[in-house]
Amino acid sequence: MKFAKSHEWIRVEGDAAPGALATVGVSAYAVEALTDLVFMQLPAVGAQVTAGEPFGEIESVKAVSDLYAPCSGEVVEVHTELPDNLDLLGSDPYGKGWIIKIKLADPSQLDALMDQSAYDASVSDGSH
Amino acid sequence: MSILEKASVLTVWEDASACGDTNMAADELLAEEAAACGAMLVRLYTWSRPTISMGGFQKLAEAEPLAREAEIDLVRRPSGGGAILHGTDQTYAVAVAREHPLASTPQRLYDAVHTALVDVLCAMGLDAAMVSADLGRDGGSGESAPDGPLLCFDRRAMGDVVVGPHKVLGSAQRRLSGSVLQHGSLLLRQCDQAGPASTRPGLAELGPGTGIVPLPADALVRRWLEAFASSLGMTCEFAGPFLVDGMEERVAERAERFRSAAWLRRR
Repeated sequence: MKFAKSHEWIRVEGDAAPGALATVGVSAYAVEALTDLVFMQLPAVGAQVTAGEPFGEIESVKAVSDLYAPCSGEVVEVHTELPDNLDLLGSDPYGKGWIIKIKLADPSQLDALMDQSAYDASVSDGSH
Repeated sequence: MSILEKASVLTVWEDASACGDTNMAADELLAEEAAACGAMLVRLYTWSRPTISMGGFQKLAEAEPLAREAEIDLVRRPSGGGAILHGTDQTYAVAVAREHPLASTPQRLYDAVHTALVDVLCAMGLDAAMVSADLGRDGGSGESAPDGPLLCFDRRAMGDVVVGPHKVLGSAQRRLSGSVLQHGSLLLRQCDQAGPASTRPGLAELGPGTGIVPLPADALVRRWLEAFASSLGMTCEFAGPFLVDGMEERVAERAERFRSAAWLRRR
């Protein structure tokens, strides 16, 4: 699993080759920092997402935040039940709280992301 | 201005009143400027016509009847939260680069801005406080979800500023890749524009005995921002209008989006 500076995670199923399936979500740290989540807007299946660009929005009690794609690709599956079950983002952010699945366009983009330890260090030293 | 000077000065822009789409576009541009220069920027403004600004994900069908009946403007904010009836409030926007410590979580910036106001109001003898965590979700008069009470001032979230039981300051954020924009509304006096069901007491109605705000509104707001800047080890620099030549054109381009049916009807 890799993490973006903007707190999204991505997990590739199998080898990281062009066209590989990857699951995207948001980190437990981000969910906790945003506090009470109240609404979420997700893309449609078939949408193209671009690394570093917004693909959806999430609203907490005080803030609307963009969700940024950690890698580029085509959205092949959307967790459509998530907006009605936002507690899953907090209770199981890396499992049942997944957001979208994409078909990776350029696996080399994964190299620019952080592994778990680097991400943990970035949020603990406040450099996020 | 050097980096060190920039870090020690809180620039406050004071704009004349403008319509809703212009104000939202200007706030968005303020956030872009904060990201570009790495500084914290503040903008103060009012509204040229009574306007309801609704939260980014509130349902249009819930706010539109109130605006139509009262014959007032309606705009959708880029931020969250509930709808605000503008007309007798002082609206502010603060934008800070994402690297700033106050941008790390929504609550930090919210609390910093609101604590400064509570301190100023208490010093004036008002019974001001911030809503605590337990009241924020369960003990207030309404949940803060998009489908909770329509009006921001009927909601309670942790950190909202209340005088007695009445909310007088609420804020909301838009967290962008390069900066965080927080804007909010300080209710100076009650606004009767949309009828009694939407009328909430402001500071003028809640002052200690006199029935008027203890200070002229502009002096109160200045004292608030000076207290906010001081809490960060900064000094305020009141820099005139943000919407000047060049900036006005950039705002006008952005305002089209906030005027569009697609934006207003996004939910």
